[in-house]
Amino acid sequence: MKRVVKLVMCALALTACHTKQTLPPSAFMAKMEQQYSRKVKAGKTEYTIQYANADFMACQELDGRPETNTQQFRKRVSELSGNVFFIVKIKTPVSSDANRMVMYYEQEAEKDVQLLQGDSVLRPVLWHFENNYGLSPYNSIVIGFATGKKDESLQLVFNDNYTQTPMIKASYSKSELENLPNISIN
Amino acid sequence: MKKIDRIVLYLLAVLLVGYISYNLIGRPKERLVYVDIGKLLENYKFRKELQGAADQNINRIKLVIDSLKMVQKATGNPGIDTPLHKAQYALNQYYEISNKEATQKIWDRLNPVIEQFGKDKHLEMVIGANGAGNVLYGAKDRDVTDELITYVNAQYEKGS
Repeated sequence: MKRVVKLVMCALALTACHTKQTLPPSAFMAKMEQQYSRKVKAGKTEYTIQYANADFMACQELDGRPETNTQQFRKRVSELSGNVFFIVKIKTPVSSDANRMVMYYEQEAEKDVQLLQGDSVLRPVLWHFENNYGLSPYNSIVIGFATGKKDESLQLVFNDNYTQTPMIKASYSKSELENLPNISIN
Repeated sequence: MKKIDRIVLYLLAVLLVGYISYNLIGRPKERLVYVDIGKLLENYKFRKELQGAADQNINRIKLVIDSLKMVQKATGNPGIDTPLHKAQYALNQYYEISNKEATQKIWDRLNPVIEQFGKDKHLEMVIGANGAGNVLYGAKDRDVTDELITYVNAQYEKGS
């Protein structure tokens, strides 16, 4: 009987255990895209917001460069650490006024975005709009915030004044951020 | 292995098989449910925040109107009439337009979330009861309003 109880306890302990995973780059990126991505639909417009830490950004930047070595990767991660990034992909129906759209996302939208970190309100320190010239169905914006090393819940809030979509929110709880996977680089 | 161990293991195996088959094939097809739309909208956080933002703008216009009225009362200047009428017109226009736009925005956000709720809960149909007689009677256990309110608010705050 004792053996059975032990077996059941072990199974329960295994399922309850949430250890921080260390994953190879491809699995790391896949997990991040699966678990740290949020989607907000408003009519025909769709926003996909990807949480990206320094590891994610470095991985994405150095992807496809065979000459990259571990040292370069670590250097890039240390340059980016202390910041968090959000990659916002906006899928909208074909725009009739592309100039106004580019003008807004490049120059004005920055003031409509904020990050709530615990009780603090942060403004972007980095803003990059990738103009796709109508070649892909979505536009991307990379937004960076200087959050420091605090492990607090985060909520990105975006009031899109081009599509007139207010209060687009993406939240990441403290426990989610504490359980971010690690990347293993050989 | 003792006899009692074998019995417990056997029971666990039966439970496991039962659970798996219930989830894979035996789960009853979920049902037709209804939602009290008035209550849903009243408790939808996005609507409340949108309303809050619109109210701020309305209050600003009202402040201008009140100030103009006070000046008119104090001075009796007929020149105030035109700006006062313009401000009142602007208030009515803003109220009408913001109401219409807000309704559209709320449903633009709610519809995909309700669709997801239906899929997650394996529902066949979600009916909106708005007090206008489209649901004349519904058993209490078919009312998923509170569950949907929790769901839409969580999705709104988190992003799905």
